[in-house]
Amino acid sequence: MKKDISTKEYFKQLLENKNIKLCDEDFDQSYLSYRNFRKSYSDLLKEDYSEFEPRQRIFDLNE
Amino acid sequence: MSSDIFYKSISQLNKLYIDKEISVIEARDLFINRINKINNTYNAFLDIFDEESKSDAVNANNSIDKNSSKLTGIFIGLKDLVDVKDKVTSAGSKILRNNIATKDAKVTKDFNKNNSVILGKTNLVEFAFGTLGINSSTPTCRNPWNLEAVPGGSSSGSAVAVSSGMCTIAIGTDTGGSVRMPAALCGITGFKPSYGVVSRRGVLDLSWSMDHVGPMARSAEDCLEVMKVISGFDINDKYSYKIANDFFENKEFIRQDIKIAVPRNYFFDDIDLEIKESINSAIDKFSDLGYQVEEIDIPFVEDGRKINVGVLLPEALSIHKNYLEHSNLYTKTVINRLLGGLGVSSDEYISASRNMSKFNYEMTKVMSNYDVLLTPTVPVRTPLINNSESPNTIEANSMGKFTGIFNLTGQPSISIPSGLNNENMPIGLMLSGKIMDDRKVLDIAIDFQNHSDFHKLIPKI
Repeated sequence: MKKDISTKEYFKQLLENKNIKLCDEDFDQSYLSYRNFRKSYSDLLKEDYSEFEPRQRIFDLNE
Repeated sequence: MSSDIFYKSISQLNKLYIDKEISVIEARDLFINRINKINNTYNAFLDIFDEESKSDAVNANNSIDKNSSKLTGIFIGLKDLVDVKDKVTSAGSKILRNNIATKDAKVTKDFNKNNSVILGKTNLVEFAFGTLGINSSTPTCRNPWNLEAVPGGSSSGSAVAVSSGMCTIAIGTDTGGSVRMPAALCGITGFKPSYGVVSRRGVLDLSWSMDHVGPMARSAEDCLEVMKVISGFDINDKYSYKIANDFFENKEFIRQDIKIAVPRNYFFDDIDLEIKESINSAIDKFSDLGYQVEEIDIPFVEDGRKINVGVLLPEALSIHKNYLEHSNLYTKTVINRLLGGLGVSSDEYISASRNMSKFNYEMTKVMSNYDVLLTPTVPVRTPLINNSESPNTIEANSMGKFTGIFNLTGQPSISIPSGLNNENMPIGLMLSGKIMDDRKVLDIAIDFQNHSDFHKLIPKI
């Protein structure tokens, strides 16, 4: 079964792996940022971008 | 002379020097005295170069003549992400408080080569990672239009220094709007050039895919003068683009041939009503001047913000990898936002990066029909400092909603003043052009400012 990486427990583990200690208030704020960010990525992964290479900015529309 | 020199343009100062109405040395003394007098209130400067600026002013004064660079003797503030040899580059952080630069940044060298006078380093959001301009690790930077209001960020001190007449030009960096947002909130002009047009060598990174360096000034005309000096290919910046020698030289400019698109979706949804009215008035003005103005929809644009953050945050975390063990030294606002990017997989980062290309391709198609997009710079009224501590307030989250789109695409984008609201706070409008069509964006902004006075409004100091 795929692990739910948007849970508080998973985020806590990520912090522990980096040896980062936060007070409760900071944990809640960071977790809020993390949860919003997880939502963005799940949306981005649904997109079809198969024809595109990373971070291109200049295109020739005639090609 | 002494009281009005602080808001002179580059051309006006240059003329005063050439006509010998004032020397660069006298002008420098006036600016330094002003900084010493009012900086304690606004906290725009973190470090004031008193001695160095004195000798720079002497050199500038000796070199000024009709053939010298227009930037000779012009007073500059540098965001404290920009290296000046033997000076601390703190990024507004306790973590880098002893970080002494061993070399000048490319832009610092450009100003020195042109005998400009660098007055000091300006305040900023810690590591340039924030939109409101608040940083609990540095003295609180305040908006000159209302001392209780935020200045906008992250180039807060640069905007405040120009707005309060402590320098003529300031340099900011812009990864999600950090030049244009504080410019809008402080009533000045801020230009983000096309990606790669200004070298970032010697400027601390926030996100290598999105970072831009740009000028902040009283007018678009002054921004253009600065761009002529700081732009160009730099082999030592691997993201630098080769541009033609005449990239910023005069181009043919016929208003009737210029197509302005106003994207009504996203950029006008849920915005403050007074901002909407102000931008609508500006749209009428452009129309009256003879520009072709067309309302359009850009359906995909609402995806831009999340792609912008999706690329930016893992890159920022990667840059901060070695600092994170000092998490207690970060400001709460920054660490709490930064940690939101923990645990991003390579698949996720690459998906954001490829989505970025797809987004940019779609935007290129839109821009093939228009010269510029006209939008508000920010959607919300200027928040108060007291309400701005959390990284997750509505204002903090929505402030960069419009500007970040153009960091993703790398398009040239400028914020210019478009009036004041009923609380006497500035409103900014944004013009964003085709990538590598920087001169046209500046020309349109200059034309607007030649036919309006909003950029001449100054706060009571």
